[in-house]
Amino acid sequence: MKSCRKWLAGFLALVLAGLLAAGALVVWVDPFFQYHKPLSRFPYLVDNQVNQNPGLAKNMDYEGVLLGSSMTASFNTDWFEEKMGIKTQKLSYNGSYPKDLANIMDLVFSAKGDGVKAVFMAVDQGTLSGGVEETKFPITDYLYDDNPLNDVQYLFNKEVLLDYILRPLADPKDRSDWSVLYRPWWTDEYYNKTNVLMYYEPAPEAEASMDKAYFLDAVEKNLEQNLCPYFEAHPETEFYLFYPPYSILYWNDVVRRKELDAVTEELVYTTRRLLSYDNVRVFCFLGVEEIVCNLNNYADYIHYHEDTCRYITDCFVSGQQEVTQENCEEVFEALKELALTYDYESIWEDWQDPRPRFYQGQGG
Amino acid sequence: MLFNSYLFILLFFPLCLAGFYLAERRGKAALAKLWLLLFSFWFYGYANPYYLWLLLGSIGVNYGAFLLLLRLKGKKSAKAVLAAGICLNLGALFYFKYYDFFAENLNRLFGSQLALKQLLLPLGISYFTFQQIGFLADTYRGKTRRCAVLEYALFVAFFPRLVAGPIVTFEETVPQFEQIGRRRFSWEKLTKGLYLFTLGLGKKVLLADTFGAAVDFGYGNLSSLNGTDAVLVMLFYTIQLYFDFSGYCDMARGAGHMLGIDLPVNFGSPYKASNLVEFWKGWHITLNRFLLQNIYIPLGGNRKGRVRMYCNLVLVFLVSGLWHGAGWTFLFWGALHGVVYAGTRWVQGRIRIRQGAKAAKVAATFLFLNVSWVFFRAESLAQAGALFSRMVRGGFGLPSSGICDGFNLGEFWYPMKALGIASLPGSGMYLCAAFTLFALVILFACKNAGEMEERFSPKASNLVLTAGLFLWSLLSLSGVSSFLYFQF
Repeated sequence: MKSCRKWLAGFLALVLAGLLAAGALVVWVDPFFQYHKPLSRFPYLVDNQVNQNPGLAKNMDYEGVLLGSSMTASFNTDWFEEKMGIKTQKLSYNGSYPKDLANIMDLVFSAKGDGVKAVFMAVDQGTLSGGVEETKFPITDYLYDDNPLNDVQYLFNKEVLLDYILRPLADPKDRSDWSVLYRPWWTDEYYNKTNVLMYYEPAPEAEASMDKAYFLDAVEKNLEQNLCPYFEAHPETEFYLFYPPYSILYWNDVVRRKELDAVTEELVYTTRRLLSYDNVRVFCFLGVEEIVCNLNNYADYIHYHEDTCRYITDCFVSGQQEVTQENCEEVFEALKELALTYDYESIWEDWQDPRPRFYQGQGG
Repeated sequence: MLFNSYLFILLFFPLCLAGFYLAERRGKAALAKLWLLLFSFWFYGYANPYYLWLLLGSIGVNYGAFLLLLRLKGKKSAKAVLAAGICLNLGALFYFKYYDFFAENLNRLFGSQLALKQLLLPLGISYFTFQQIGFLADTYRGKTRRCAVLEYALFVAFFPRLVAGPIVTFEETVPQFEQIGRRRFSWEKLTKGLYLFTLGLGKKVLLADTFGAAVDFGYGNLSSLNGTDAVLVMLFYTIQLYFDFSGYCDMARGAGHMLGIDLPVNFGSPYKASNLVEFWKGWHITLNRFLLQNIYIPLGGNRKGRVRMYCNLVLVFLVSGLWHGAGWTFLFWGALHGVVYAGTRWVQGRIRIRQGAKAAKVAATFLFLNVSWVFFRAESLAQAGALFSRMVRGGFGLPSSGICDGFNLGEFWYPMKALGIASLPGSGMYLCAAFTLFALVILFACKNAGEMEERFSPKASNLVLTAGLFLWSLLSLSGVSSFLYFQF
């Protein structure tokens, strides 16, 4: 009996000591930034948007945030500070749905309150009509809520210890650059027409046209629940919303699926609704021909080069490509015209394009 | 609630143990039992409180039928009460588990328009339904006696065995619940229980879930598998299921021991079996006992001739298949086992196979099990066929990275990097091979966890190993995981 008691006491002591050590290490380094700002000398690896964005939103110093899908991943947040004087934190979610944006805005505004000067947000037409509760990936509740009890899942977590504390220490060259978090792995060589066409497969052609109002109900619900409440609750914050410049191949798919009327109707409806708020500005890059018709700007049929991101940032300052209540119809009519009349067949006539990338070496 | 969760390990179980023993030590037996019962309800209702009402209703109705059966003992009307009790239990089980399966097939067969209910299957419904049917039958046969509602509720809801067995009998548990408050506390039982629980936790979290990742990948990407991948997916599911279910059984018995309650052994070393009859003596032992006592024997067992016996055996396995899941794959799996089991019984006694052939017999049984588990895992017979087709038509090749990636756990990255192994050709497959070899050694050459618990004596070496395994498993809980046997 005595030996069993000693064994049990030893077991408890070892397990408690192990848990204490693991928990203390996680709290001290805090690789998901749940408790404090990053340590100045630790080589943090930031590559997990779902798990690391909430902590970044809670504890980093910033006045503005960059939100959206992978359409925001190539931005350098230093540009916002240099050009607009707004220290900005990138909080992208690849493939994000409006609910993903709402989730992170909850954390941003609860952490900073009225201190958020600007929200820069990519608005993806394809996800605006998703389910109002739909998120791209399952949310790790314990990182998003305020319940300290479920933090055990973070504190006693092998992956946090091994992949985000010990591994960066063993391999510090992987440390993340805070200005270009989540930057895609594509280097400049991947941004060319040949590469884009190699991996692009046109969408199957639909037989019947999609009803013009097809997306409107779902879009309205998403605006009502996931976006507009934040515009209303934070009049002190300027929201810069932009439709990212997908390549002309995206529009080839839209036309082949016979969705063009429905898509433009959705865009006009969404834009008018967004512009009804004084603190919302909308920029549309969908039909900027210098960008979308030059496949050298892309690594695949939608992902554009960081030069284009720099141009978008410059437009926030200059007001170029801004959509207003006055020019709204005109902008989307022009987009429709481009999508309808573009000679898509000619794209495959030559797999190489001698034109340089748009905005290459400009801005800055 | 899962055994392999932070909530269970860090809060629920320590709190349950502390309150239970505190009440028992102070002589408050009723309070200790009530404490255990309330924790059992918390355990069951945690995921879906709505189904707690189903459990409570089931306990209430069956306890009522039990009292009525005791009162009508020896009278003709007792049979009617038993029949009504069985019908009510099976009715609930049918409604929640089988309605959609039958409606779907009737619709397909007769073009009817029966609406599907798409109900979420209540956890462990097959277990507590079968256990209570067995209990009513035992009461009818005079094998039980009067017990208080608290003990009866614990008999049904005792959390270590509530959602995935073992299926216990009145005599195995109720007398132990009645002893609460009158027994001596055992440090040895507590220690051994903790040891067994830890072994089960490690099996589930570190082995079953690791193999499970490869299996999920395989079934999710059938069309891209080569022949080697397909064979490995089949083998890995066989391994996963073993560690998953035996891990659960070890944790259930371990938790029971820590509370001073002995649960029957539900799992031996089934893959060491040299034929299917032996296999079923070591796999899900208490379910087989239930089916033997309540289906095989009432049908006549082996008393009505050999042909009838073989038919009865096949029928028992068809019921077992249907018990495991409402689908054609499970029925097919049951039929396959029934036919081979009956065939084995036919061969036994007719053909004498020399002793030296044991290894070949074990290998042949293991191969059959591998094949049969494919139907157990596949979502449809077509999917099972697709996996077999990939084995034949997929061609030989090295295992794909999707199969191997799940084995490349972070904790092995450091030693592999330090030893320079990580940069060797094909290093992505080394851990997959090492895990497989390790698992096969455990399956075929090691004592099972129950035997290890019996031989356990407290030493410094097993203290460090057990605490290390416990910590490693606890820190590995971050992934989403569920027990395969919960769905039954």
